Amino acid sequence: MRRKLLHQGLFVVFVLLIWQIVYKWKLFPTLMFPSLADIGQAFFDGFVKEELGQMVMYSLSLLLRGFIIGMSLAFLLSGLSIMNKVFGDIYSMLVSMCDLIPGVALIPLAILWMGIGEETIILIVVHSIIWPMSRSIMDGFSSVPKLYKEVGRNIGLNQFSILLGIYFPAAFAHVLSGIKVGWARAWRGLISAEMIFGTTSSGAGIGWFIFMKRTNVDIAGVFAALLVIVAIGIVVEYVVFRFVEKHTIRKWGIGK
Amino acid sequence: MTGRPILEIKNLVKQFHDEMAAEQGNILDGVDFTMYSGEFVCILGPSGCGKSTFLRCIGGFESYEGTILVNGQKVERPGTDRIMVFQEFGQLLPWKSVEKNVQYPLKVRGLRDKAKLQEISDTYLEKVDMLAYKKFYPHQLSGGMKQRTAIARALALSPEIVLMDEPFASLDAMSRNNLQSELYKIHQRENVSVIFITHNIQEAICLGTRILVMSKDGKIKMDIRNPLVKPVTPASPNYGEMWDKLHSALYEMTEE
Repeated sequence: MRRKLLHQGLFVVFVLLIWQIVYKWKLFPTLMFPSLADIGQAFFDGFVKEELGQMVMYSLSLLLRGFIIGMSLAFLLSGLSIMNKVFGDIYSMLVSMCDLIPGVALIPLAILWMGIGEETIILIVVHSIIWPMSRSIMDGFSSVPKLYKEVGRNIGLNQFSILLGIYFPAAFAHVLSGIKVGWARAWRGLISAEMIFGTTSSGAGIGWFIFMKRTNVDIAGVFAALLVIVAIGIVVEYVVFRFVEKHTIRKWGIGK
Repeated sequence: MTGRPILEIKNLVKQFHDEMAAEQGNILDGVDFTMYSGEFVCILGPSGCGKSTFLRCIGGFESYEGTILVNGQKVERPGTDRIMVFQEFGQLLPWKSVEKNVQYPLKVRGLRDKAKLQEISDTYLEKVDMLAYKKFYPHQLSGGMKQRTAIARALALSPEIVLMDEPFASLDAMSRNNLQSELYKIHQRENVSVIFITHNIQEAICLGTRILVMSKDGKIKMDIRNPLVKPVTPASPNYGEMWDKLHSALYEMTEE
């Protein structure tokens, strides 16, 4: 574990070093390729002088709302498709179809139908999560060993309680990987929607920050915003997901 | 020794459903069988004779023709009055500790009192010598320990019949002997009724109070009381005679 962190840390240092060398040699115009110091400054200014902090919070609040709705729907609909075969057949087809449509492609329709409020962005986030997550959950459900189901039926679980008592925990490695994919997809959906929408009536997010920085050719600012996205992603991956994994699938000795 | 009849089977027929199979026919062909409470019935038979199917029909896991009555009730689905102990070590739920594996079926049945649950799981884990491991997760246990826990889980439900499908077949010879003698002791003390599938003649003689031999055409070929005084060892009087009798019954059919 420690070794792994060391390797990863050394790699990051190496990349930063190369970056600075490339900058020093002026291989690209400074405008296009800012120094690490410029990016650091833009990052700092973003939070202190500008409203990057607020924008991050706004983005996160949209993201979380969309994530919770999308995740709940994915659980509910995947669960229903185990309990009812007709529904399952239809839903798996629906997942295959809808998963192909990028969130951005839905934006014109969403704007036309729902305007440019928060609900529209949340809808895009929900769309980005629900299909890949349902796919993982249903894959997980279908790989639950027959033995567990028979044990479940034997001890008197009914159709609904077998879903919560057997399918869900037995498929938890898949469920978790679905949550991870969903989380990443949610970010993408959110940032693209924000960049296209600009500000909504109630606030502006990171996507809008990036868009403005690009318009002003403040490339250091663009990188600063990307850094924020990566930082949040890393925290969630290394803190939240690791924590959940440690207390579930690794404790149970299932999954990878 | 024999009590009231708890299991009555009349003209049980189970057909092949496999359309790919060249020969069509019955796996079970008109089986009649009555079991009395407190009996330990061992079923011997060559592989493919339908002994597992027989057990699964009683367990309620298979559709069948004919009648299976447990305490006068027709068997239509699995239930906690007939608990299966499978051959596979994977029958414990990996996301639950040893004691939770024992408690969970009781909770499903509606027992909510935590102290009572703890008391029951401790009692039964003690009987199978697993009390020291009650906080362990299944992946931390050996095969023999998993089977012990599965037996405790079955007994804790106080079922009418415990259905055991070669539970010791995947164990090494030493664990197997230990578990056999412990299971026999538990049977003596608790007076539970057990149907135990095996293809091991020694096992049948050591455990059974009654031994059935099934033939390849899905019929009960021999149904005898086991008169040997427990605990049985190869030095017990009449052991050789009994072994010969069962051996020739088994092998006579394999040659046919």
